[in-house]
Amino acid sequence: MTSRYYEFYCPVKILAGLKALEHLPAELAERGCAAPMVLTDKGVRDAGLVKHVEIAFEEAGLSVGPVFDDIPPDSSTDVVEGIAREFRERNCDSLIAVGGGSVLDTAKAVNILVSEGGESLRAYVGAHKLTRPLKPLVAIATTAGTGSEVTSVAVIKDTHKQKKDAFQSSHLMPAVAVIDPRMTLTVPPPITAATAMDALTHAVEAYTCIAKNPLSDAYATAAIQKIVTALPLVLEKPGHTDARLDLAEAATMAGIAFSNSMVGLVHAIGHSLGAVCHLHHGTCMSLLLPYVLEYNFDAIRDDLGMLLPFLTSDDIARATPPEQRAKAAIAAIRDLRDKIFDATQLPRSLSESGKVEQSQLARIADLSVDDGSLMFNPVEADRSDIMSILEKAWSESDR
Amino acid sequence: MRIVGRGLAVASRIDSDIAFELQHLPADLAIAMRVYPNGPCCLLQHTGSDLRYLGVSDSCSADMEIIFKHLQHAWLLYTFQEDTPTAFARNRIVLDGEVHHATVFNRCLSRLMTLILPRLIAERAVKRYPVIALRDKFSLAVAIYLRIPLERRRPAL
Repeated sequence: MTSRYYEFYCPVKILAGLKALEHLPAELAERGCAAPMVLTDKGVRDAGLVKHVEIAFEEAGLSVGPVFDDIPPDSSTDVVEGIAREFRERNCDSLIAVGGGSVLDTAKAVNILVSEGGESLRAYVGAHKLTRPLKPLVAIATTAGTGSEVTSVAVIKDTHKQKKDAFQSSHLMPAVAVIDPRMTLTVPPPITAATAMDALTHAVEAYTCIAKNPLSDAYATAAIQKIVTALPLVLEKPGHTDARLDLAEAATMAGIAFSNSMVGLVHAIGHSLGAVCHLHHGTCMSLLLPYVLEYNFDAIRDDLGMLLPFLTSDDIARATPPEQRAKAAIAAIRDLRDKIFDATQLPRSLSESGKVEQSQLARIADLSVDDGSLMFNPVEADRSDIMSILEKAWSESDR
Repeated sequence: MRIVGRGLAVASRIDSDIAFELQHLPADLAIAMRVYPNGPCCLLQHTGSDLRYLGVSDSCSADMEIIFKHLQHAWLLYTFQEDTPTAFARNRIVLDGEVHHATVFNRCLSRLMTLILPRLIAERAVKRYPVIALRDKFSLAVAIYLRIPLERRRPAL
């Protein structure tokens, strides 16, 4: 009898495309909400993106509630607890998060406190600590990468312990995710490229790690195909609305894929690299992905080969002998990385990033072995294996 | 479940690899492996230097709980037909607690399997069978097996 089993869950209502934001007032009304609090950061507000939300409400004869725009890039428990107090004082009933990963994670964490009660997040650290549905949260991503708008995870820095805490529960998933091309139009090319590589890594790891399943595979392959097609277009023409929408949709699909099949060693090392060196998460993913795929190669050869048509084209995949498709898939990812470098100077190696010291690699390896993502990697990796990967990612000898 | 619980407690005192891993867990951390909804439940506690076996009962609560959704899933793991990461990947297990504690505990569990099982069986129970000298494996396995029957249930700290 087969021992195969999987679960797949995505209750997030997705509003995607032209004027998606304008549907927000109706969505909140449907959920009985009239006093949303908007969470964002200064960069997003200065870029005028919150204005799109405010106009959408004004057109419906409504106004958005209080706007909190002071969320830092590396949000913390102090920030979350402060916002939760304000949410209660202002009698808000729902949350609208407008921003990137930090804003969305902050909104999820605030939602824990304002829905479950209490003043401190500490009691909810870890997996499966939430016991009931939370207040409606609308996620409006302003970068196309993290997939946070459809995931059940939030990561917040513990101000007092100076470490990052992870919160995981299906109740953390937003009620609504809005994919509106206007929200990513102004993202500069290097960030667009880094966040797209984050999404690509979500999809590739979802497809090649041990918790993969047929449904997450479908989302992952569709996401990969959209990213490799749309990213070069967006880098060439940043105002290309359709390609921007494709990238945002791909990031959401990759988010759905990895939320149901988890990620692996690229993320385990990437989380630590980001924590130690403060390198952008998407850049970490872009740097590490080929090296980890090579490390996992023997275990994922067949799966990688299956990705070749999505990373290149049906014609190229058909013309490539089956035994060479896995290597060709890694080569295609390297080609994409090199094209991105030519367009945006996004670093291709740790040394090229200028933010990593070789002396920090040991610390990064130490942290990586305790990362939960490692559990789902198809190949075991200990500290020395991770050091070896980091040393390869450090050098530029592969180019 | 009793054998694994007692085995972990014994191995934590005699195997340097498991002792090293335990340094990454907070002292007093209570760890439960239980079957949903009504047990059995095996409870361990990290003392700061080793693991204390608190026994197997019908119910328990702990700082970190590894919860099997069905008795058969626990059977697959404890008869070494499936490793812990695969059980997590196939949603047979729910973790209640901090993820990095679970990764450390999984490494301890894998190390125990490596020590006490013949290689052919251990290879099914761990993701990668490590390099270990036969003499070291044999002496540690004998020491663990001899002490498991003597390992008594102890009160929590």
